[in-house]
Amino acid sequence: MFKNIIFLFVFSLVFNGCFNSSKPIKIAIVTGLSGKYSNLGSEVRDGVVLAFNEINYNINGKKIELIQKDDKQDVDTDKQVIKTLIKDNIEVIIGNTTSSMTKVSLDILKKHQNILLFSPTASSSEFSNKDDNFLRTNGGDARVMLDELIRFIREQKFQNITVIGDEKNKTFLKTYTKILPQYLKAEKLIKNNISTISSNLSLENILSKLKSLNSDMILIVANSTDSAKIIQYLRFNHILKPIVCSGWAKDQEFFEDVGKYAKGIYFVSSIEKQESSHCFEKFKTNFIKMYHKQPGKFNIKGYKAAQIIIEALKINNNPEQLKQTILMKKSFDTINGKVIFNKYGDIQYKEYLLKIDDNNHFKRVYHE
Amino acid sequence: MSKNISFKADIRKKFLTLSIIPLIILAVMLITKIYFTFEQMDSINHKKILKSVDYKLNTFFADVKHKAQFLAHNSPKSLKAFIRLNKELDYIVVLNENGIIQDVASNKYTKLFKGFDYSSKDIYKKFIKTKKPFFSNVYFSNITNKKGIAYIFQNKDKIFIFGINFKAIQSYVQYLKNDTNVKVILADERGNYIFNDLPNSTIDNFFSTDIYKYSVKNCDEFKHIEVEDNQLDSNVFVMYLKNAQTNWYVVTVNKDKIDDAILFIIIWTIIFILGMFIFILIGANKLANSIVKPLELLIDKMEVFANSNNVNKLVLDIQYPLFLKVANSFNKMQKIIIEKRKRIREEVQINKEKDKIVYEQSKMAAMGEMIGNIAHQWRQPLSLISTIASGLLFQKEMGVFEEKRFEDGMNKIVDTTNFLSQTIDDFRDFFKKDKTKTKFFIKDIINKNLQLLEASFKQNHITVETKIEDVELLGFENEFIQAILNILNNAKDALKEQDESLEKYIFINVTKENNKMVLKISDNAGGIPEDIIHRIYEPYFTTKHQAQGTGIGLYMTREIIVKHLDGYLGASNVTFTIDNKKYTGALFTIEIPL
Repeated sequence: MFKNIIFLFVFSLVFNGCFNSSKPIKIAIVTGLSGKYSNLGSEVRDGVVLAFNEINYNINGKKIELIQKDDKQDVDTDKQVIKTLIKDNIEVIIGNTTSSMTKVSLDILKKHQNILLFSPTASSSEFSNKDDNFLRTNGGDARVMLDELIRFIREQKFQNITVIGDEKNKTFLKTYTKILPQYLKAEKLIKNNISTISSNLSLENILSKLKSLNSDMILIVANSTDSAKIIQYLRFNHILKPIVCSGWAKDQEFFEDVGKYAKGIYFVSSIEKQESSHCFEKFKTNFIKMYHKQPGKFNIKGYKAAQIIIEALKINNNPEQLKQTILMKKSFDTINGKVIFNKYGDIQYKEYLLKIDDNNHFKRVYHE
Repeated sequence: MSKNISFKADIRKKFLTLSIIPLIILAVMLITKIYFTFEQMDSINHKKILKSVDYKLNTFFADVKHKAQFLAHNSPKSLKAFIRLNKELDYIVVLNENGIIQDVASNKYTKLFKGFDYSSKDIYKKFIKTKKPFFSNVYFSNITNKKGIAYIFQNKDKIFIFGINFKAIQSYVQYLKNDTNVKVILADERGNYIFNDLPNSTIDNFFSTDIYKYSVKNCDEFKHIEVEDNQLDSNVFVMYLKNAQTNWYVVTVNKDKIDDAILFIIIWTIIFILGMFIFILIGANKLANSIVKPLELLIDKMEVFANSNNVNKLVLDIQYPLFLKVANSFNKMQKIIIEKRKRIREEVQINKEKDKIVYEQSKMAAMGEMIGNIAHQWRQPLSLISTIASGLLFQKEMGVFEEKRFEDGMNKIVDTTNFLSQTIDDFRDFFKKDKTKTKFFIKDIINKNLQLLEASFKQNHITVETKIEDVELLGFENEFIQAILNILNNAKDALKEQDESLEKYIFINVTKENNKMVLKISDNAGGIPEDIIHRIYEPYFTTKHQAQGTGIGLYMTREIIVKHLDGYLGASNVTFTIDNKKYTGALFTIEIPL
């Protein structure tokens, strides 16, 4: 009898071991792949896919099943997508790509702490310093992020600032419409609130509203296509005030769409260092080989996030313990440098003020 | 019985092998043929679809070009109206040669205006290099906010861009989608999908797919290739062509349904073969039974017949003439064997009777010999009795009779008569028939024989040399004495015929070798002629005068040694030297197991 029990115990262990080892790790990528938001979404997606393609969808003998979903930058669609993924026992979700969609997903995932949400691009400070099932490699403390912009406003003595923003990504937009004014007021740089115009209005409407506001500086918080169109329209209509764009617009399409009006446009953005390291060169070669184009900022971000997940799964291939594994290892070498997580799963993150020069290159405004 | 089983199994195995192997070969050939036919059909199907898609694409391009020409030459008042009439168009952008928008028309609000700079757009930059009209690769349109393609051409100082929606092209391709399982991929020359009918594609670029890497990239157009597609997790058949106008890839893919079909056929073939196997197995069993069963019955009957001598008529309930013939022959054979056996038994009985007579004859002959020997033994004592009696009678007549002499004479006569009596006893014992086997020593047997023959040997001046290692034997003593006596008598008779001047010898040598008693009796009587030496044991064969020999002696000796004592008797000629004189004689060797 005793022997039988031991046999059954050993058998169940072996069987369980075999069963577990053959069960694939299900990872989903949820990005915006439709319409005007697809630039960011597909760039992140391409970076992630490349990283998993390089390891042949296999970590220490465990198969990786990558599932792609489109949130369409729509609340209801995203809710539906996340619920489906929960039902499908997905253990890791890479996404979302915008802060507003990330917030929607996180609200649902609060009740599912075993599922990790890992965003490569959501940068809203709203997610900072929270012990939840969310990690990211973008964004952080709002004050640090906005530091150079505040300095710019201070130095230029701008009093009237208008934000033209896409309210579909209101979580991200909040950084500029709510948090930025708080800092500016606290530092007594401006008296009034920052004005906000929806980027989804017609260009004529935007122009007329803007004219009525008499702004010193225009801050555009929208994707590259919308930002470029607004810039063209404003410049064409002789609005020559300084224009600052959020990092969201800093992708490949921007220069194509903005045409000759790119020169002199400011950006508040992180710098994805394109180091000439062996690691980065390998990534670049593989990327060009796979997608037949140069990698962009969001491609790098997507690849970097996937790199961290893969590295952590190599240490512990139980996806339910992924967050603990990442936080325990803390420091990860990625294609463009070290990423260090704090206990909340946030990283040291800084955004810089950049300006496009005559050759359509981004140059830092402040060098210290 | 086990041989029968293996024989049966062997028949079954051979029958199965001869039936199944051709069946399997036939099935393999059939499946191979079907596979190649399927593949050929699939290849034809791919080719047909590719050509149709290519034709439709060219028709589509021609249509767009035609509309472009119309627009260029007729300058319609409203571009928007023109778009509404042409469903494949999403927008029209009119640029000046510097890439500045002159006019924009779209079904939707475009957020593009006259005066916008379009010169950074890839499509413009490419056109301006050659100024030749072309269909663009896939790009993200900031007018429609989605991916699409465009046709760009120039008329005078205006550059026109026709934004073409995917749906128009897709509907062309879908229009061609027939009820086959062939999926169609349409990708531009940079691998961007225009249309991808394959499900669950995780890769947004055709060049990154296994289909491209392992077939399209390295193969010629219209080649039907099988690819192991890890992304689709199955094998697929692929064929492609490149559209001559755009260098776009038109690719047809279908999951390897041939393998499925072949698998289906193989499964059914296996089921069929298994069915056939069972059927053949039953058939083989029946066949084996129909062959082996009559044989088994025959063997059983033979066994019964062999063991019981009873005639057992073989009756087979099968109608094969071959086995009926065998059964008839067996029955006939049984009858003949029974008759022959009966006759043999009778013959044996007769022979036994004959043997009895021969034995009696040999006894009689031996008796004759004995009487001869008794005569020799008695001659001297009788002469002594006669002399003593005559002497006593003469003494009485002469009056010189003395009491003491009489007494001595009488005592001598009594002794001599006792000797005579003893001689009779000896011979009488010899002729007694042995009832049971007894233990006896060879030395005693030799001595008894020599005692019986002593007088004869003396009379014939025969010297007997013995060298005996005494050995105890178990058997009929008198029979053995008779056997030895026959050999010694023959030696004596042979020596008697020799010249008087010859020194006559008989050598008796007994040894124990390898758990056997070996007795060698030889003489120097010249040996047995070689031409008759092989016949000496035949009954009634003799070289002696009729009065002297019956031809039974050596026959009986052999019967006693070989049959009664399980021994060996052999005869040969030997040559030996005594006192520098060379002699030849017969040597009889008797070996008795101990």
